[in-house]
Amino acid sequence: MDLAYNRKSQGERGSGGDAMRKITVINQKGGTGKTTTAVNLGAALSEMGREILLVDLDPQAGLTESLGVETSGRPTVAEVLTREAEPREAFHALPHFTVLPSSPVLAETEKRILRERPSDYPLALKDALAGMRGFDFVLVDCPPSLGALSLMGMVYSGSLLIPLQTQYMALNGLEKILGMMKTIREAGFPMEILGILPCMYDVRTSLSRQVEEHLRETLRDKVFRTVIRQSVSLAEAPARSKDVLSYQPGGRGAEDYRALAQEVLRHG
Amino acid sequence: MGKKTLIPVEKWEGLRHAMEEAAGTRKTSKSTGLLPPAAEGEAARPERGKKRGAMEEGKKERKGEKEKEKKKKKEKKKKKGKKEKGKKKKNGKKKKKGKE
Repeated sequence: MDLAYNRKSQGERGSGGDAMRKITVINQKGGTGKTTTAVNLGAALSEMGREILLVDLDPQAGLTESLGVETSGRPTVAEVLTREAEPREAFHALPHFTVLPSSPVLAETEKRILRERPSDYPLALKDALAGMRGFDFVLVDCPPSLGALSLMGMVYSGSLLIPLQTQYMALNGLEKILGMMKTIREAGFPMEILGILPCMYDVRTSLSRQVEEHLRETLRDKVFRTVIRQSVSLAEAPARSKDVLSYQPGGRGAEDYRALAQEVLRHG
Repeated sequence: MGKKTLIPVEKWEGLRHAMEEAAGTRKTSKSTGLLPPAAEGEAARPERGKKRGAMEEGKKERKGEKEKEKKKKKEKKKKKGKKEKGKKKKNGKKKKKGKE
């Protein structure tokens, strides 16, 4: 495993002394490809020999369900956040990665944390996962909002991957995330954009092409070179409780997420 | 024919600014602060209906008393002045107390 790469990148960022690379997948808009990106980037990085932890921080538990993780009677990220369970007690080991699952209970837990830790709730995830070892990458899948849970995810990693639909409405959401990022940085937490990922790219439409073109012109190196094209396999894989690399290894979706994983590794 | 622009130029300009602010490369006014309802919010913001920098209750009372005292003193002075005016001698000199 190429842990030297990770150590170097962490050191350069100054966002922690450990070798784990933490990435938060976030966009306040729903259906932009957050969960799809977290799962399939995780699978692609795993294929390249990295140890991956996927954290589902969405009370809708989309990531948990899409991978067929059964949570009944077992602790989830909700109990980990309130320190009622150790992270390892809640982990589910799957062939390509480990999952820290979510459940609808997380919505209540969010309110409880806000009540109990009003002054430092953004640190809840960071505190809960402090001292955790054994992974090269931790990918956090955020809910489609800029609420307390998203804030916890952002503060935990300090590095954001923003999937963006190549459509007009998606640009409004991006502006809001950037505003939130500024606020967090001003509050003293290190924060960087790992990259903006154009998703659901439809090669046939001029809107997709224009959005991508202007995004690159405007935000330059903050936009990944990889584009996630629209693909049926990406939509079908969760129905089989699989990531796209297992579902259709030679498909367009798998190809795109492998390219993204290469880019993330090169990013440094 | 030129290419039809589907997204207005201002949108991209706004995004550029937002990105520069997020990255810290553009200096702007500080945002209202992280954690609006819970953390800084309650500590920094005065209560509803209370102006920023409003005084505590105790202080207010003390200040009120001081002002009352000041007013009383002023009134006393005024009364004194009026009395003395009345006691003026014909030549216009004020009557001195205890020197008669």
